[in-house]
Amino acid sequence: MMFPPRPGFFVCLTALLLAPASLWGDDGLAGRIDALIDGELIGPVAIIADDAEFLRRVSLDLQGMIPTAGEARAFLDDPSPNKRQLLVDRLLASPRYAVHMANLFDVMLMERRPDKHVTTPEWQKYLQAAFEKNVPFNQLAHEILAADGVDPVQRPAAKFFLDRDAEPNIMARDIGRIFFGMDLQCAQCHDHPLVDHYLQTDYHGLYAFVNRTNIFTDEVAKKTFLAEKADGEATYKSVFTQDSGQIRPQLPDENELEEPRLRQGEDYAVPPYPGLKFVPKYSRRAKLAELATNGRNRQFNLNIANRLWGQMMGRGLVHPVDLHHPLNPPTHPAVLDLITNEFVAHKYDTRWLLRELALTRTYQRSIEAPAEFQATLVKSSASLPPLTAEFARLKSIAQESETLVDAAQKEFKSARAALAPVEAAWRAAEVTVTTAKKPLDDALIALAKAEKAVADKQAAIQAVTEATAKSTEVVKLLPADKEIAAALATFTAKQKQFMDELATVQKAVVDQQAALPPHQAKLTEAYGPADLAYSAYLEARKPVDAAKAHLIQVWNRHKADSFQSGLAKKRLEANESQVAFQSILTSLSGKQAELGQRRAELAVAIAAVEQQQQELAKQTAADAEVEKTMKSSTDLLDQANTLFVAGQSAVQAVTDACTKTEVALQKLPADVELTAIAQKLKERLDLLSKEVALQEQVVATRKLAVKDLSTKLAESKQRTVDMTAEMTSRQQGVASRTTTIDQLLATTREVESSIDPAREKLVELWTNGTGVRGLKQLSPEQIGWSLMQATGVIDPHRPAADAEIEKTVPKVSVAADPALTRSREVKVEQQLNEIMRGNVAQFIGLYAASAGQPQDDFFATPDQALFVANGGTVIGWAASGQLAQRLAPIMDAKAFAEELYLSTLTRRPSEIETNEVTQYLAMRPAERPNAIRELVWSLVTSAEFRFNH
Amino acid sequence: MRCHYACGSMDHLMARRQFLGAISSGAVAAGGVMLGGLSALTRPSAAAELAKQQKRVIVFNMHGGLSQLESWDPKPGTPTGGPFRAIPTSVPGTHICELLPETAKQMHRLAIVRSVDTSEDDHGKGAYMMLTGRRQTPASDFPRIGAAAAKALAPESSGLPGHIQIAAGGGGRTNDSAYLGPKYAGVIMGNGQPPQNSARPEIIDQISDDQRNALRRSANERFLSRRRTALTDAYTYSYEQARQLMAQRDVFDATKESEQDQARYGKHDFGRHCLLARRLLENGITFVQVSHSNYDTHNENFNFHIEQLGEFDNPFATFVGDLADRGMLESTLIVVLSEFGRTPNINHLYGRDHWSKAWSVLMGGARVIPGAVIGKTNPNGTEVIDAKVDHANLFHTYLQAVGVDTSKSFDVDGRPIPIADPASHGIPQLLA
Repeated sequence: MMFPPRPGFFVCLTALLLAPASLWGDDGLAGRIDALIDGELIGPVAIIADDAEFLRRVSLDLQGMIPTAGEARAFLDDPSPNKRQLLVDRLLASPRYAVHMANLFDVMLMERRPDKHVTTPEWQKYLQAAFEKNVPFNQLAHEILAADGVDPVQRPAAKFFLDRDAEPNIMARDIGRIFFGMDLQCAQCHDHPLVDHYLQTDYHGLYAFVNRTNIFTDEVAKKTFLAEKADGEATYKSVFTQDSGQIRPQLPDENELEEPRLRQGEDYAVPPYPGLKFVPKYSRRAKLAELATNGRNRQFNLNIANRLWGQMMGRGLVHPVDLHHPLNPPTHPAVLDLITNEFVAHKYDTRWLLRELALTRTYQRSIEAPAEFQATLVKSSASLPPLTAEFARLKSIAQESETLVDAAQKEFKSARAALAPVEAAWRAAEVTVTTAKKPLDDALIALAKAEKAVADKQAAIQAVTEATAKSTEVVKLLPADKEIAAALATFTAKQKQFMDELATVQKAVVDQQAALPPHQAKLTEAYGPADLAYSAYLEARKPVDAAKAHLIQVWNRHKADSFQSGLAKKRLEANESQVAFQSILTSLSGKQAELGQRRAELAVAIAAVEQQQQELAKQTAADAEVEKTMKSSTDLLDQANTLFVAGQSAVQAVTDACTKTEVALQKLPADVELTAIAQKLKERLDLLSKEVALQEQVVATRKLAVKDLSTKLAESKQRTVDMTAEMTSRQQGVASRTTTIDQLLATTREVESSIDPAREKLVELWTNGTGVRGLKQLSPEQIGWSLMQATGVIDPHRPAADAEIEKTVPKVSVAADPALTRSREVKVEQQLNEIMRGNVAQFIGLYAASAGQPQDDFFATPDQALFVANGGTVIGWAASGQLAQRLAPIMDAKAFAEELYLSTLTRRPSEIETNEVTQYLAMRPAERPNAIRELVWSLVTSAEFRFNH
Repeated sequence: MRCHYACGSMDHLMARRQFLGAISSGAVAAGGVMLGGLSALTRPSAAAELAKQQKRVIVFNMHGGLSQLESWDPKPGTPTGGPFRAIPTSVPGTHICELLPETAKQMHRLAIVRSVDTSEDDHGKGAYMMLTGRRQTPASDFPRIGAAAAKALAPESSGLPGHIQIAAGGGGRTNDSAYLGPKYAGVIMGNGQPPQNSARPEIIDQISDDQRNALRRSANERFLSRRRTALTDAYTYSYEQARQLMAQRDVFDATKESEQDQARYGKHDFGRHCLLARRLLENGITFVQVSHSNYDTHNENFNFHIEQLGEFDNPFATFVGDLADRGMLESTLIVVLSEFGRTPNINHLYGRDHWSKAWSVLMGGARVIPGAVIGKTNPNGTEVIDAKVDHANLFHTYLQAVGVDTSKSFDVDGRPIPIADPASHGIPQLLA
């Protein structure tokens, strides 16, 4: 299913070229891993994390908690160039390593199931011992899979099955998930509905290894063990297709086991008689332990290598770690192959593998993605077409090989159908044997019972005999005591009675023994036909076996093809993500360009409006001017008119007077005075007439002027109307451009806001590809231990743990022996772990996934936050742990901030951070203890604390 | 395969991001108190729209096994029918037992499934099946309906829990979300008490609390400028959710309801719990489960049902009526279920025993057709004679009623897991 590893020399050469051997281990596994990773990067590469981040990371990964402020200071100030390697070695060698690894493996293997038959401390001590001794993983797995709980030293290993109540379905599911990385649960009742390559037969193949295993309770010792029957088959029936069948044990990707047939009655080392923990001569579970762990099962090896990688890197190469299948291939098949092969070649040496992983550059990269990554995106666009084509090609190959599977499936089913009558005949013969065996079993059980009765009776007789002897002595001393005499008589009588009874039960034994041979003979008689029937069955099964082998072969080929197509799909999808991001960027820059253009246009439009506004203002002024002139001209006309009208009426009056004077003269001619008056009037009229004529002229002139002005005014008004219309249209231009820009802005913002998530997705992609370090959550245990370490809650308990061990192992007694000294150190560490167990339990209760479920999923709930914010535990630790006590007397702001940050976040504070701390303390001088409590609280509740980065 | 309504969809991520953006910019954080839940997160119109669209579920768990013959499927005048009459309801032609006169008036809003056959007479196993839609198998555990509903329906942006169980006893968190994880496990309101640690301790005053949270946020901002992921968002957001929850602690306090309403529901535990349930649903809680105990009437079945249903009828009917009046019935699924029904046969102690072959479940609201009656039992109630359904059909139907496509899968950290038993299906004739 995997790629063959690349030739080693090439890899080594690349490693040497890429990294100076002195810094990154040597040409060992670490360098080879880096070379493979570097050769397949899909994005930019982050820089190497700084010392502080590396220290925190590797301490959490190898010790399960952050270092102390003192340890941090020492490491940061250590100038030696190989200090990282020294640190890794020191952590791996520390007694805490085994305690931490035991925690990890407890959670991995038991998934926080409640204790049933083996307690967690017992079990963890067993695991601690294994990791302290660096027991090869396959040996540990063998112990766990094969244990029956009888050997007191190995008993805790039986927890894996005992605490699952030896329920065969739970065992099958969890063996699949935990030891083979395949969650086959959904394939129990039918082929997996969502994972094409998990078959119901995969599930039942594993189930067949454990369906004979049972819990056996020893009523006398009040202890439970694992027993196993010699018979019991795994059958299945799909609730979807109704296809049904029976399957012998079968490991993933392998053939069904060839199993010996042991005759009924000859199949047990210890038979399943009442009170006996039965042991078969051929144990399927032992076979599982052997075949899984002997180094030859690929899936077992891949699973553990992938899990250890995930433990260090934060994510399995195959993720989720219990979902290995062709359409979920590893991100780096060559790396998984390499570490798997090397781990097996190094005899499953966990410490060695973790060391190599910790020394890779891949492990030590920063969590910060490089800001510059344009080149990557450009490259992606170019490789999209070939990748699309490659995926299509591989997919069609996989589809082709699927048709072979269908054909093989049909052949297998028809062969199986042909076998059915022969198998039925054999099974019927076996039933005959079972029937024949029943009387023999009954007789053997009765014999055992009789033998036990004899033994019981003999024990009773011995006790009474001793009592009789003693009583006889007492009677000799106290001959007069009647009660004692009576007691002696009773004992003597009982002794005789028991002797008689013994004879009876002894006879029963003899009788039972005598009864055996005929039963035995009957059974032997039944063997013959069954043996023959079995031979016939075996012969008839050959074509079925061949068909099944062929089916598995083509199925594996189809899986390999699907794996390639799955891999191509994953690569294509990664590429598509990068291209999609590129297109978001393109779209954004397009939008931004358009926005710029539209904004420029808007500016022009606004300027035009402003200009028009000015013109319009001028025009309005001109209008007013014309109107003003018009007004004064009209006034002048009116004045002239008034004068003219008055003149006319004066002329009329004088004319009338002249006429009347003429009439009077005619009647009084020669009246001198009258004549003079007439003369005067005439003179006057002439004068007046001339004036009126003048005035009339003036009126005419002014009328002309007014007419001229009114034309001008009309023209001006029209101009104003025109210009106002132009203004409105220009204003509308501005409004519509503003709307366009608003819309454009909205879509731009939408694109902008999709950039951050898309970029994060991209960074995740690079992280998986592993050019950038990912964040991983602290496990509940790591939260608890790190909080206690940070706040200084552990400190006083270490001497207490030491004192407790001192009671049984005084320091002086081991001082001369390094091995014993070491063993004492381990004991102290274990003791400390037990002392702190209750504290850590609170965090497990809140931060751990449900029992029996995968434990690596992250979730954050308000009730966790409420516990941390309002519950007594964390507030109390922040207020009165040794950190608060250390900080209280530090008055120098810089020193205070440094101690605070080194203790909680394993790094020195930045200037900004130091200032923040200083200001906060200054703000609350009167309540310094509370201020310290809150400073500590705010850092241990920060995201930086919650994650391993 | 990603289901679009479940968490992880871009919409949800965006909502959370906007919320966190608002927090870090100080817009909401200034006073340290956030009011109004959803409305604090988005524009008011959007919040109203969301509230209207948000689907909710309430389950009344009739603990011990409610008798179908004394409730939804009465058989008066038959050898198995017992002493009670059947009364007409607000749905012409539909009769229920006379012990439920108030509920009878609400039947035009509810629907009965009279053809349930779960074939499981054990309390624990029956309850498991009815709440998970699966048969209990040793190897696997399945999430209860509350966890599934919270995962599928609860808005990511709410500070309030999506799954609440009101029961007697203490508080804490249930362990019934299986692979969906503790995030969706039920928050227990033991005897109606608010969630644990939801009150600020006295030794930290409001100002200090605001200040320490301001410090925490500023530390987060510095770290998140280096690397921000969905995980860091979820983590920092959980603290804001906790603060929202503290600010909205009144949501969990039914005594804040009017004196009149408290009187309408009754002051006994079940009445208080129904009123509390109404309050929780009104405040945007997605799933509420109320238990009513105890219907395991092996003896004196009839007296016990008079007593128990006498307590149940009025608050339940009031609850249904109130939901309808508030326009919440269209978006809220009501389920009244048990682990099984009770035997048609009346034993010598005047009791009825465990019976899972032919019994009833009541539903209403959301997509459930009002007034529908699905399935039929024979005259003595000993057998289903029409439209037989089981726990798996019902489980599909509950979720379908609130708009969940049960043929889809949940994505659990990269593992696709079917939402409901893929070998089963819903009851289409019950849904509009």
